[in-house]
Amino acid sequence: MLDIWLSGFLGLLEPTALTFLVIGMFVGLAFGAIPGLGGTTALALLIPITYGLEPFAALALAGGVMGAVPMGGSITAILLNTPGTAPNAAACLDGYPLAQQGKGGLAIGASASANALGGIIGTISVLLVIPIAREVVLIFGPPEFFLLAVLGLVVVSTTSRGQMLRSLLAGAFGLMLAFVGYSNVSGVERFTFGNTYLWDGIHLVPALIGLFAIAEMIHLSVKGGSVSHDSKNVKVIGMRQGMMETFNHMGTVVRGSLIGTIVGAVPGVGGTVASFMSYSMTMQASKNPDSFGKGNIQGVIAPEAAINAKDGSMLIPTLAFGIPGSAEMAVFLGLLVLHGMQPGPLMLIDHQVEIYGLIWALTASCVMAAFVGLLLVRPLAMVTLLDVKILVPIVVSVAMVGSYAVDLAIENVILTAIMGGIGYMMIRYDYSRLVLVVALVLGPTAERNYFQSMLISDGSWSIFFERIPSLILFVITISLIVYPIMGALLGRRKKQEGSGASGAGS
Amino acid sequence: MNKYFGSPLIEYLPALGFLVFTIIYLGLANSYVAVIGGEDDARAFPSGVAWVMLILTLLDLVSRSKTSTGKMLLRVLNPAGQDQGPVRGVKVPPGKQIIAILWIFGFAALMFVIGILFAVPIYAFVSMRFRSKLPFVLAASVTALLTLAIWLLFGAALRINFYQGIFFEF
Repeated sequence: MLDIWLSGFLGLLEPTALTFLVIGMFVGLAFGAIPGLGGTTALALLIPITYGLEPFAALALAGGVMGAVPMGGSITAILLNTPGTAPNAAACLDGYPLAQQGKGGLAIGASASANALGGIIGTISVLLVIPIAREVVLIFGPPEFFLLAVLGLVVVSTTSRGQMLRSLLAGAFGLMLAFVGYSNVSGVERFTFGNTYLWDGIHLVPALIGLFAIAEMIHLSVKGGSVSHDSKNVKVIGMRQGMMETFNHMGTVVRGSLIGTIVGAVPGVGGTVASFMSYSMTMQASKNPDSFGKGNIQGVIAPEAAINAKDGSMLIPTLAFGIPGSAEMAVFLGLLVLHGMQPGPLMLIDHQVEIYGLIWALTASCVMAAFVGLLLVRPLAMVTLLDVKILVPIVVSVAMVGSYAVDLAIENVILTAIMGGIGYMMIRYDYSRLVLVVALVLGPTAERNYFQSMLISDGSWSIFFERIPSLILFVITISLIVYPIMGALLGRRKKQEGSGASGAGS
Repeated sequence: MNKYFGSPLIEYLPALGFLVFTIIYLGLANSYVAVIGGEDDARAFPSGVAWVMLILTLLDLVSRSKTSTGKMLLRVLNPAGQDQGPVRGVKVPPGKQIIAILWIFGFAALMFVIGILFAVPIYAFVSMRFRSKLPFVLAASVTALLTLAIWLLFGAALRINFYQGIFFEF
């Protein structure tokens, strides 16, 4: 096994492969930073270019892109509250408040090192998991996918402490939007009003651009001034301190990376769920959960570690079964086929050197992108000082054109505008956009897998408790609901006992 | 401003918006009949979620009032809402907020009608020059650079065919 790992690594050191890795890394960084583009667009645009390349060089290019996109996306997420890619949206929650406090450098330093460490931990996990990949992925069936979707929703809904009602409302609203489109389960078009654009449902990327980028621009234009509240404080300082913060929170990094690795390996769940789940679990584990959303550095580290860790594990279902776990992986699958590599169990036997080369390329790109990203932070941080009168038209224009560019549909622009209006209202009236997004992603997965489970079990709900993996997921879900309630009740009881004792003492 | 059950009308707006949306959604959801599988499969999830949404919206609506039931609901279900006003951040007149949203819708409509490459410079220049009252030279320079950057990135580098608007499409 070690000789194959080494062959993959040495193959990457070939000048051609190394050159394409670096090119891919720069492309990924740039595409990640521009809202609406991301890794999927970058890979789709690069596929024709790789046609004349050796398969190893093409995979190095793809690895470079996929490894660097998260770092690019986190820079704009932190500085402008505009996630370059959907999974980076979680970094907005604490990264942007830090930027507003003049600590953009600290947040980006932490994000860069979390990205790199997450990538490395994810790679190690994948290298260990690949030999048993087939067994691991086969464990999951429709009941487990359904419960995983429910678990994702529960985890995120319980994060908004003190805002349960409005979080649940946002989640239900997200689910309602998630059911728009053609249903594979029932063969019916729902809520499309005859519009073919809506057949595929609410397009995620344009919706995210609206909810985050456009909504924030509306908020800024109403508020005036600049992104940073105090221009005197906006100095890109503290990057080294930010990097050290990541090492001070290694538990958060490891937890995030493991969540990213596990969730990434499950097809259809994706990086957005991984990053938000990592954020939520870190918040739940924290001794000071109320500081999240106000600029807690762990709120940046946790999702960023998960995003890069999931990249490696996402390859498992794609390579072993030809099941792409995300849109990015679907495009990547096209690249594999173009170069004569047929994904499936045989791929893990016939193309081991290429696979390990790709994994090394992903890791190298993560680490390089972190360093290059740090070099680019200073000029990018100056953006937060820009007057919103100039910044808003620029960001709105680029975001809207980026939204159109996702799949060359002008309807994307209209969707982005509508979601921007909704996102702004949610900001003003304090509804959680995070819960809405996760519900929007998980809604169709939950519905599809629920009906598949019912079909398998002939309508019996016992299927969700009969199998060990689904039972484990069910128990985790219930625990996540019960634990905070029990904690609150016990805390209240303790408080009452305390006040009773002090009353008796006096 | 008139108050209803102790709170101004603006406080109820989001919950009322959700209520109207949910009622329409529920009506539509119940009209779907599955083509594949069981007859109810098409509406089971949307309808179920919409009923839950209806309950949550009504709770949200009541929790926004200053009645004893409203205060109790807010304390139990959404305690974070107790120590804040109707809106987050600085208080801004509703008219200013509506105008800010309308600018975005206006830009989207402009893109739809005259295409991307005309809509971007018009929106950017008008926004900076007439809405924000920036100097003509600054507004024109930023507009030119922005349009050029968008053309270079999306048009020249990515070879994306820009949408040309409903009047210029063939």
